[in-house]
Amino acid sequence: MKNVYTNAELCLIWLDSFLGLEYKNKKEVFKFITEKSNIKQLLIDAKLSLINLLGTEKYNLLVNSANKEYLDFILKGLEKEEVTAITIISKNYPKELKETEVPPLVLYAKGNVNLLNTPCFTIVGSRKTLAQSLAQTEKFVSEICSHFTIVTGNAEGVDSKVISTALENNAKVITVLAGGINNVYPKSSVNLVEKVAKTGLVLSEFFQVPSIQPFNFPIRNRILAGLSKGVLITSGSKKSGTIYTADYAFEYGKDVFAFPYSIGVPSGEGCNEIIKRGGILVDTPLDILSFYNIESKESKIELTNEEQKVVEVIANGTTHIEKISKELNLGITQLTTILALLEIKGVICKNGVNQYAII
Amino acid sequence: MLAKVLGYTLVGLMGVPIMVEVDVTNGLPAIDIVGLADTVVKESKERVKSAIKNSGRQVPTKKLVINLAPADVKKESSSLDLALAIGILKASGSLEAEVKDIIFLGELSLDGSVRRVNGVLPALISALNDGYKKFIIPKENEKEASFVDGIEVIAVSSLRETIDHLSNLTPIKPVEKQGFISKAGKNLYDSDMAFVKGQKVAKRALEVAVSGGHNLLFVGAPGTGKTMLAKCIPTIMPDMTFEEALETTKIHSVSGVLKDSDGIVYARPFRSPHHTATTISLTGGGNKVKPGEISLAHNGVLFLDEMPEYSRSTLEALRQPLEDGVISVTRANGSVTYPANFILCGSMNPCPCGNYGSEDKECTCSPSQIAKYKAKISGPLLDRIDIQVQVDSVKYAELSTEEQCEDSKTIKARVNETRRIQKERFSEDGILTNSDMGEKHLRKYCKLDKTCEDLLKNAYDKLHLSPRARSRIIKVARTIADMEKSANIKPQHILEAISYRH
Repeated sequence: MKNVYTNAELCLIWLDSFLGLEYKNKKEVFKFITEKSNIKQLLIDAKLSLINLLGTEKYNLLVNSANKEYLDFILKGLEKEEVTAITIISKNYPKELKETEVPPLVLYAKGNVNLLNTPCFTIVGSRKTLAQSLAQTEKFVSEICSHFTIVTGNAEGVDSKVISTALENNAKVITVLAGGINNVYPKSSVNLVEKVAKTGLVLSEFFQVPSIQPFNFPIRNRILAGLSKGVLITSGSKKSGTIYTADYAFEYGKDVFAFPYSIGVPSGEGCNEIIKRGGILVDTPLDILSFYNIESKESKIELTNEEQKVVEVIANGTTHIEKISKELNLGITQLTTILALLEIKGVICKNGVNQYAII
Repeated sequence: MLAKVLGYTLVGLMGVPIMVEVDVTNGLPAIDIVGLADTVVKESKERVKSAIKNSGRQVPTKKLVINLAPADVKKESSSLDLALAIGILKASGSLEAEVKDIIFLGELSLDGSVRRVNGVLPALISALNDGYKKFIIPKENEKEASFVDGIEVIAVSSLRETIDHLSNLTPIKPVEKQGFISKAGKNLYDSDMAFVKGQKVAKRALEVAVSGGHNLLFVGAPGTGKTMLAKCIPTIMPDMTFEEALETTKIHSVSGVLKDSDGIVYARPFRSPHHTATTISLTGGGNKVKPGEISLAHNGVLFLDEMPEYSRSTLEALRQPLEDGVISVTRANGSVTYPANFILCGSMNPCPCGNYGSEDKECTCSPSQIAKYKAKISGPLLDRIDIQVQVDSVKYAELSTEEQCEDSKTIKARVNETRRIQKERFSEDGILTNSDMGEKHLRKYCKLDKTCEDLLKNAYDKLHLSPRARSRIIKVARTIADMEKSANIKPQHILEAISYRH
């Protein structure tokens, strides 16, 4: 499929290809772009302002690159990698994102571009987390994904879990990369990202970056927060990058949701902090759905008396298998059987060595 | 004068009779040994010379040519010393007794005493198969010989004693046969299941593993008792039969690790090579193609502590013996097969720092570090480990409780029963335990009804089981069903098996 870009769009793509230009500089030039602009005209229109910003030397470099060969080279590169460039003036640029303070001028996308203007919901979390939080994330994603396009990052831990659960449920999913669109980091998520490119959408603010720097991640997180109506943070320590996402979401006036954690769980301190700042505490997927007035039935899982007892004991804080066995006076063999069945039913999950937790 | 005396040399567990030919000719006094002799055998001429001198006899001051036939087999054991000495004495005419058909085994000391040698038991059994019935062996190896029927064995402690016996001056009584006494009920081990407090999940898993002959892997932080649990495995395995004991003893005898006190291995071996072990030390090999740790663990347990720390190639080398129960070590000068049928028990930390999933300590590892650590044990090897069990630290309160735990004897009785059921079931299939089942046996003996099939399917979807996990779960479920003497696999058996997944 060959993408057709308008002249103004081409101007933006051309402008965005200069990695040496800072965002604010690009934004300055963007002001001069009108529907009728072409690159050469643009350079003349914005000359004074550009020389002011960049100095003559850099301006001359831009002028030297203002030719058809250079532009064709960029477009061919995009086409070869099957990447669509979506500029801020394109029709399909996501509206939610456009309304934020520093929207990316160009988004590079791979996959189903139409997802950008569907109702999106962001679910992110930290890399290091409890097994229990992963299982709960899975539960939330599978409940919510039929109503929203799920947006997330591509890190290990929660983000990867969100992607794989969404893919399993054949849901719409967008993953936003921190590096270039073909520069997937961490490498362990390459397969997942490729799968998303097939059925969902892979998004990045950059076409190519020489190397990913730590500051790329918070920058990416503003897109994660900007794309959606609401953001759910499922885990994160106080210094976790997911907290940036929440901060951006607060700033942009999005709905921020977070899992509650008990005191002293390192991977949950950030979530509790978000709730303190006004985030909405959620402990079932229904909390989010009802927030958006989406009707949904809570699926009832039928439990036998014995299973119910075990669930109650775990809910009351006795999580170790031997302690449960002692409290209920159940043999280990019988208890193992019950616990395995509860796991299959999706009521509990393994949460550490020989320990269980309610999902 | 020419003399011929028999010796014996081992290649693996099988042996070859060696004809030691000694010829005395005129010439400058010297001893020449020909016939592919190893350094050990070449050096033996000095030992033999001194031993003969110090036994009150003379080495002729003539040229001695010694030939070891067949000339194309490499002789690499000091056990030929005794045969050489007798040959020299015969050739020089100072010993006139008939030594035809007697096989001599023994290493000589300079003072003329006969020292113990390795591999007497396999040599005796192999020679018996070759049709030899009379043996003279070192006194120290006497016990080993007492378990072989149908042979006449004289145990000697010195060369002089040998000469006196042969020339009928002071005949020695043959070694008395000692039947294999079953040591059932006797405590052969230092460990006992009763010593392990708490750890109920692990103990149950251990019983399931031993009942079905499944390999298992303990996952737990350092100091949680993984090694202690592993050491209990032999204590609940069924007692060794005579055949099993003999096979194990043969290997231990060849390697020289046999204890003198018993002469036969009663206790199931428990081998725990350190993780710096080389591949050869595990599989066997080297210049003399000696048995490795996996063969020494034959009929017992091979415990690999800190499994991910072993080198990859060393672990991968275990795959074929785990499948076949034997290891063929092939070198340029021949191939040797050693039995290697053992229960593999591994242990590993849940993550590099060891605290992942711990109740009270925080793990400092990143998900990629954990994944990297786990990936050190390859999929194909994990496929051969049916049971994985998590072990966590025992609280002090549990350690000191006087709560009575089941001892190994009680558990062993149950294991014996479960093993018997399996033996009966597989009587026509040539396998012994559930863990040996192949796809064919699974179809034949592990039919699942609809409830079980649905349950497995649900678990497969919900718990993200790998396709490989299915047959492992069914095998373990079969064992659990056997433990309850249930003819069919029931849902609760499947569920318990699922809890032992990776």
